[in-house]
This record gives sequence, structure tokens and C-alpha cells, in this order.
Amino acid sequence: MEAVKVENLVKKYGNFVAVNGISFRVEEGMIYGLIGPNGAGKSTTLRIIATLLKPTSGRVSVFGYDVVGEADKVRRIISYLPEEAGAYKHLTGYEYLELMAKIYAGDGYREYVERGVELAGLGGRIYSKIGEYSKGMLRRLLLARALMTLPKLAILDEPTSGMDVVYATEIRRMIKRINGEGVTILLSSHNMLEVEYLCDEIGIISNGRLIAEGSPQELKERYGGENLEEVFTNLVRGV
Amino acid sequence: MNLLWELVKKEIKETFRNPRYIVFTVLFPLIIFPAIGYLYNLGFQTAQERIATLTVYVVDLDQDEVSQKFIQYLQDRNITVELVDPSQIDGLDYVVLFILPENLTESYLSGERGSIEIKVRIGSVSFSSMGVLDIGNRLVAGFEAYLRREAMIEAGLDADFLNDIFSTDVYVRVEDWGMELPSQQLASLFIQIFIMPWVVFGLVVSILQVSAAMLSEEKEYKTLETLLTLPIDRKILALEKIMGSMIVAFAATAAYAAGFLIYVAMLGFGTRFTVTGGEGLDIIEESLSISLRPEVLLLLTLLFFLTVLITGGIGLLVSLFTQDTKTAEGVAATVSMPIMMIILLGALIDLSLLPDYARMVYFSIPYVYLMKSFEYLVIGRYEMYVVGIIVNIVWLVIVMVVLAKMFESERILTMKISFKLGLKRRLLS
Ligand SMILES: Nc1ncnc2c1ncn2[C@@H]1O[C@H](COP(=O)(O)OP(=O)(O)OP(=O)(O)O)[C@@H](O)[C@H]1O
Ligand SMILES: [Mg+2]
Repeated sequence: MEAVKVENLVKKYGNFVAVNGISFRVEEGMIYGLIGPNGAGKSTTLRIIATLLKPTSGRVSVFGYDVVGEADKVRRIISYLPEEAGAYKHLTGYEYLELMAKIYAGDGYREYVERGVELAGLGGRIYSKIGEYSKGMLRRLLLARALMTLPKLAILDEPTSGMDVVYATEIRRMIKRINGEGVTILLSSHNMLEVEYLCDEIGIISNGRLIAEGSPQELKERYGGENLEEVFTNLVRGV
Repeated sequence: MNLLWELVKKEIKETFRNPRYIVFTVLFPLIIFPAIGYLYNLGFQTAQERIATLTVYVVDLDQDEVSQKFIQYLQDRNITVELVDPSQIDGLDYVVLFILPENLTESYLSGERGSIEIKVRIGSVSFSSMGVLDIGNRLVAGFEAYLRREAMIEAGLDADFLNDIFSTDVYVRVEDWGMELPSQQLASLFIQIFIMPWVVFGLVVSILQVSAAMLSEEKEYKTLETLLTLPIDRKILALEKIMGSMIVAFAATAAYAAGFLIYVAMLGFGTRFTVTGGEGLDIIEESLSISLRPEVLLLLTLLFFLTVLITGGIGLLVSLFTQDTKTAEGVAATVSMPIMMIILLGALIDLSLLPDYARMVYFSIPYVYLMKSFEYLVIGRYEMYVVGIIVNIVWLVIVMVVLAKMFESERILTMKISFKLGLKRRLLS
């Protein structure tokens, strides 16, 4: 089954075309990565899949549910980590996870909170006010929030942005592990190493168009590069 | 329902951990009402005490029969009279000072009109000092009547003839109220009616600020996007925000109600007075009798609550357009200006002079009823509370429908007020 199906997606902000006819599919159980230069339209695409924005034209479905017509059903099976996100700063990390878990699970929320606390890996600091967290700690908390519910699809917009190498590595492991539990993952990133390590399939977006797609290995072979970074630079320059 | 409560709980925590909002919504009314009541009473009390212990100063340049009689007249009425020299006037701590001219007796005897200068001193221009202005005049008028009576008795005439032939009671029919009341009672009402708009305005501003911050805070701290992708019905989300402002409104209503009750109680003790009559100084008690029956209090509370809720809704609408709390509070302040105009309008102009349609428009504004609530309370027009409640409910529904629509569209994320853009366009064209 396709976890995500994007067909001829167009998104305009006023007269500005941010996404210009993108199509791709994400199979269930896979980790799919969107890469592309700044302003390419990655976040816009992810936000549409996450039901935040409505497509100007084209069709997007998540596990068969239309993101416009059946937004409620989509929201029940996804979780979304925005590129720039915060959390209620007067709550503690624990209270925040608890609140979010209750929204998803009602009475059975404890299991989620437990997993969330473990994923966040903040130790005793989970009981501190979120307002006192560092950028990296906050990001971990938010990612833990997004993954703790084991959604069918997790949409992660630059999950490791703003993190040091050690943190980032841990988070990649975390994403892999959760993926192993059956969570399909759609992410965007600027880190080619990360994408190469994590993703089964990659879509390269530039100027609102999908200019290449395939597994890291395929892309390297097709576009002749030592690594993804070279493939990326060649492609983006060439178009 | 459970979920809703969880969210609302979060809202309350976030809101009331901000000390500014507690000050705005709860402390302000608890302090302002008793403070106004206290100052109001204090003003009248001090004025009253001043009259009771009044010392009248007299500069007697006449030193003759009439001036002697005048001083005697005052003393007979238990008024302390202090004679002073013209050179002493500067730096004298007087309230009322008479300057009796040199030729007073002379002109009296020759049948000419003599002139008495009266000086009155007040601390500052205020309602409470108004009562003092007239004292001198009244005392002279009383003295005049006394002289006439004496002259007539001397001439062997019946002095009873001098008694007032008519007594007058002034009743003012207030078209707007559809009722009549004694002019003196009306005078004391004026002050109350001028205070009310400011209190309502304070309330409007504070609720607008709090509720405008409620959504823009989610934007500023980047929590809105996450919130909107959660499996929560958008209507529930809108409801949650509204309930959040409702709780704030509850707190505010409770605080205002408590403050208002204290205020009314304080007014009950305060005595309005007027100084009357030729025969010395009398103080007429003109208390406002306000009875707050439970059902009236209930109506008033409901009206208040609805108005606050509409204001909260407007605040949320404002925050839809703004990306951060600072801007939201700024826009909220701007929005409160026209509301302020509306509120003040009712106090400044005679509404009956407006054409019918303008009155209709005016009375379809939700804030009018709260502004006039004190007036309605005093004159007992409780049906206007009901009208107000209906008008407020209609507005509330409109605001809520618009809000729910906005919450369901992506505009909640993408809408912005672009002052700059608008300005540029105007400059370019
Ligand atoms: N709300 C908005 N209004 C107008 N234009 C927007 C809006 N959001 C995004 N855009 C524009 O759409 C284009 C695509 O933006 P998007 O955020 O999708 O890029 P991105 O690929 O995620 O970039 P980055 O790597 O920098 O995150 C950009 O040119 C951006 O300026
Ligand atoms: Mg982006």
C-alpha cells in the first residue's frame, strides 16, 4: 500500500508558484527523503501532506485518504514535526508529552508517554520547564512527541536541524528504530550524509519541481557522483 | 469532552502564568471599583464636613448697621464668623469670604442696591467641590429675606406675606429612559454615568489583549502548526480557545462583580447632599437607592459575561492576522479605539436627538448595554438587560461562526496584516 501519493501537486502563494507539479509516491514502511536547495518547496509539500495547507491543484492522499476531503482521518494516522517548532514553555517536557499523548490515545496514553520520555532521552530534565530547554533539547522533545504515538506516517521537516553531531546521530538511530516498528517516514533534510544513511528513496526538488528520484545508490549511478552531495550539486546546477 | 478539558487546562496554565493578565483581568476591577467608590464618598464627606464646620470670613468695611446685622444673622445660625482685615486676605485659609463694602448701610437706607463681593476657595475643580460654590449666595439670599421680614414687622405689616407663595419641585423627564425623576436625583446620577464608560473600556482593553495573545502566542512560539495537525476537530480547537478566553472572562466577571457590589454598597453609605435655603445651611440627603435583586444581578452578570465573550472572540479574530503577541496586542489596542468611541458616544450626546435609524444602529452594538447598565439599574429598566442579552447573543453567534470558519481554513496559518504592502501599493499608485 502507498503511504503517500502525490499527483501533480501545485501550490501558489498569491501569484508565486512554490510547488509546480510535483508527483511522487512513498511506499508503506519506507523512509523517504526530500532534498533540495532553500526555497525549493520541500516544506510547502510536507505541510500540504500534513493537512496544514490546501493544494492549489493536484491530489495528495495518505494511506488512501485525501488530505483535503478526509483531513480528519489523515490527522489521526500521521504526526508532523514542523521545520521550526516550539512547545508550550510553561509546561514541563513531561507535561507536554502527557498532553499530546492524551490527545492521541485518551485513556491509554501512558504507554505513549513512556515511549516519549525514553525517546526524548532528556533524563531528569524532562521534568524541567520547556522554557529552560536548549534548542537541541527542545528538538529532541518534539521529535519524541512526533514518534511516540507510532503513527502510520511520520512527516519530519529537517528533524536534526540545529543539533550537534552527537545528538544528530542519536536521532538518526531513533528514526531508524521507530521505522523498524512499522512507521513510514517522510523527511526533508539538507544533510546529505543523513539522507544517505537513513533513506530508502530520495526525491530531489528544485524550484518547485521534482528533478530526480531514486535510491541513494541509483542516484549516484545515474548522475555519476562519488556521493550524494556531488549528485545534488550537479543536478541543481544543471537544471 | 475530556480532551477539550485537557486543552483548556493548558490554556489556563499558559494564560495565568503571565502575571500581566492577572493584573489586567482580576486585580484591576477589584481595585478600581472600590477605589472609585472610596474616592467618591471621600469627596462628598470632606465637602460635607467642611460645611458643617464652616467658618465664614467677613471683611467688614461698612462697620455699620447692615454689616452688624449680617454678622449677627450668621452667628444666630451657628455659623462661626471671623472678622478679617483686607490686608489679611492673602494667605487666608477661607472657604467663603464676604467683602462688605463701605457704603453698604448707606445704600440700604437710601434704597439703592448695595453690592457684596463673595470669594470662594476650592482645592481643585472637582465634582465634590461644586457644592461649595453656591453657599455664599444662599446665605446672602437668606439675609435679604430676613431684612425684608424685619422691615415689614417694623412697618406693622403682616410678615407672613413674605413667605414663599410657591414651592417648586423640578421633575426631569428623560426621554431615553421613558421616565421622570426629581432633578436632584438626576444630578447625582450624572457622575455615576460618566464613570461607567471608563470601567467598561478598561475591561474591553484587557480582555482584547489577553485573547488576542492566546492565538498569536501559538504562532510566536511556533506551536500552532503542531496543534493544527493533531487529531482534534478544528471546531473543538476553536472552542478550546474560546473556552480559554471564557475562563479568563469568568475570572474577570467574578472580579468585576465583586468590585461592583462593593461599589454599590459604598454608594449606599455615601450621602449626596445639596445646600439649600435662606434659613441657614441644610443638608438634604439624596441617597441613591439601588436594590440589587438576585434575578437582576443574574441578568447583569449574564450580560457582562456575553459582552466579555464577544470581546474575547474579537480578540481571537485579531490574533488570526498577527504573527506574534506584540503585534497582536498592538492591533488589539487599535481595535479598542472605535469600541471606546462607541462607549463614550452614549455618555456625551443626547441619544434622543439622533434620527431613528442611527439610534437603531447604536443600540445594535453590544457594548452599549454594559455601558448603560448602571443607568438601567438605577432607573429599574431591567428589560433593557434582556434586550442587551439578545443583541449580545446575536453578535456572539456571528463572531463564533466567523471564527470557526477561519479555524477550518488554512488562513489561520497564512493570514497576515501587511501594513507595509498596503503602504507600498498606495505609494506606487
Ligand atoms: N506563507 C507563505 N507565503 C508566501 N510565500 C511562501 C510562504 N511559505 C513559503 N513561501 C515561499 O515558497 C517557496 C518554497 O518555500 P518552502 O518553505 O517550501 O521551501 P523549502 O524547500 O522548505 O526551503 P528550506 O530548505 O529553506 O526550508 C519559497 O520561495 C518561500 O518563499
Ligand atoms: Mg523548509
